[in-house]
Amino acid sequence: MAAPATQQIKIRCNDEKEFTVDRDVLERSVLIKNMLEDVTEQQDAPIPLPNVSGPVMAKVLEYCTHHRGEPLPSADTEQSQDETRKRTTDISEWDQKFITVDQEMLFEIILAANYLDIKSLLDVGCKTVANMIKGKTPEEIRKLFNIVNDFTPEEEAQIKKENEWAEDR
Amino acid sequence: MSTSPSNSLSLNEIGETTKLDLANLLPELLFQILTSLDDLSLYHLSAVCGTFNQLSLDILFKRYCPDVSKGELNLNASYSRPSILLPALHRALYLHVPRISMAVLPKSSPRLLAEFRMLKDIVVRQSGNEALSINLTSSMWANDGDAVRRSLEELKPGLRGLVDAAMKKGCKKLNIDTGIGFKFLYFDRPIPFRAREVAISGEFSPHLIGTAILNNDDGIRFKSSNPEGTSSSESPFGTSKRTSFSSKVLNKFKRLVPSKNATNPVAGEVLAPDLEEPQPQNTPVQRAHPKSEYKGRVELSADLFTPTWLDWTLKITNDTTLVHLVIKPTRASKPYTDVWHNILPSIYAPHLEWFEFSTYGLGVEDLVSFVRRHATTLQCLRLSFTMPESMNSSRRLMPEPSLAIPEIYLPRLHTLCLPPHSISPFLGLIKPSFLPDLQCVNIQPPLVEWLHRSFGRSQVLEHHLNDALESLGKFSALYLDEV
Repeated sequence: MAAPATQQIKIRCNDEKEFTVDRDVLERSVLIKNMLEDVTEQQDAPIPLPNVSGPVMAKVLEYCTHHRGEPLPSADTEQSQDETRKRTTDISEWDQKFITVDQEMLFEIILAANYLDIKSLLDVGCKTVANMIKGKTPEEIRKLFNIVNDFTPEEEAQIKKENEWAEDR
Repeated sequence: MSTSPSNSLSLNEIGETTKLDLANLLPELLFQILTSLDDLSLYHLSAVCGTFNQLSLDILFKRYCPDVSKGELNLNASYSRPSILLPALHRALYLHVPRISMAVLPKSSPRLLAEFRMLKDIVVRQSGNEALSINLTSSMWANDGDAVRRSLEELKPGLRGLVDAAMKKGCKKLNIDTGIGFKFLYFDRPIPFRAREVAISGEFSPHLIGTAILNNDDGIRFKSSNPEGTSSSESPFGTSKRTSFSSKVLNKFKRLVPSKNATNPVAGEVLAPDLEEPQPQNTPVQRAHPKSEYKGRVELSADLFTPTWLDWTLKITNDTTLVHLVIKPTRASKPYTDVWHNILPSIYAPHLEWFEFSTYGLGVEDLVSFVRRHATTLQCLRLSFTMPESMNSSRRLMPEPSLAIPEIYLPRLHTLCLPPHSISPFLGLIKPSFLPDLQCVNIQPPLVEWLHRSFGRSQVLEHHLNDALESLGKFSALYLDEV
């Protein structure tokens, strides 16, 4: 006997791009999972996701497909802030390759993961950004992320003076 | 997964013109990113821009969050992590903390000024301040003396600003412990004290103004109900009482001291029987702020008579309410053997009852000069010349030179504690009848032993001690333990 067919769910992004995805893949997203649970009747209409674009959703779905079947983190198993910090570089090889994208896409993925409530993807994205910051000087960070220095010269001098001790540790 | 090829548009194609960057992420996402960073990276990030400065400092505070509970900001808990204090203070700007306790950390002087300013900002934001406690001792001892001196002037305005802010917020309990060498960073100028309790203690209390201050009855008190000042009539040592006492003593004095001595008077010196009140004339005397009342035992380290603190110290010692003054040695100070000759003439406390000088370097001549100016007020003069620890060696004591000092009348001298070699010339100057109240002579054993080493036992007894006792003529108690 053939295995029961997995339910297919349609989603529509803000650029009108539609995806038809296996339900268990989509349920990596707590947002979509809750939406599906709230809808009792089978609906053919796609689920609108107005905050996610097609290209970003494609990347998100790539992640969800790879990690399908893995247990979702519960509130009890969420790591403390300190533990999270210790795992800064703790990104699996596949995830590292997956997240090797340009900055804009990286931030879009982070935003999408946050909107769709995919904690593991959000964690990967945030840790990737953190790794980009780590070990860089303030000027290198500004250059990397195109951040404008809005300190006055006095403020900058004061901050530099206050932080001098940190360099000596 | 299957995708529909239709309706495929990129972000740019739908008109997205705002490029997404790190700074545009939601604050909660930025916060999550930054929590993955180590301390150093966070400090680097804090120097990138204002947004990241606030975020990174908030994270550092949460990472090593000091104890903030029940309205108390306790920064002592961060003792082992000196790196967190400043971010912790930034975070505390948003907390309700009427009670603040801060132990400044070792090797923290490079950022101490910033911490004081930050703490001041916190205090200013509060609706009121109940208690402020600053402990600087550990920080001070972690530095070498030169570093301490270099940072001294820089730290003063920060600490002053902080204490000012606390006082303006109605601080009821102020505790500043600055340790030896940093005592009274703030208190070198008059301040509008409204605190009910002020505690200032040192590393090795009670080297400076110390433990007694906390005792309600004996300590230094600052008026809480009259922040604008205390008139002399309100003081237990006020005008009326003082006049009465002075008149009594001076009337007695008139019978014994001829008026021809009234030439070239200096501050407080009792020279003529017709003087209504000892008045400072030639020597400029710095007075302490009238809001302070030094009713209790005031102990001053010899350190405080160095140029750094001298102005403040003279204000204290010349305060009209000062009754009990102790000048003590300190482990941190070098001997100031040549300064007392210049300093003592600047000190005049009109109601001084107890004077104890337990450091060294004060010659008998200078002592006599000081006593002369306080003769009518020194009810119980205790002159304790304690042998300094650093002098506990084979060094020989040089005999006191013969003195040519005019006679002095000490009507209230009750107890005299001097080294034997000083008692002899001291008492030799004074007619027994000029010491009507002297009842106790106390000679401290260490000094006697020192004299033994210097001159030999028999000479001490015969040429110093016996002479002193003979000149004294009468006394009711003599303490010569272990002699």
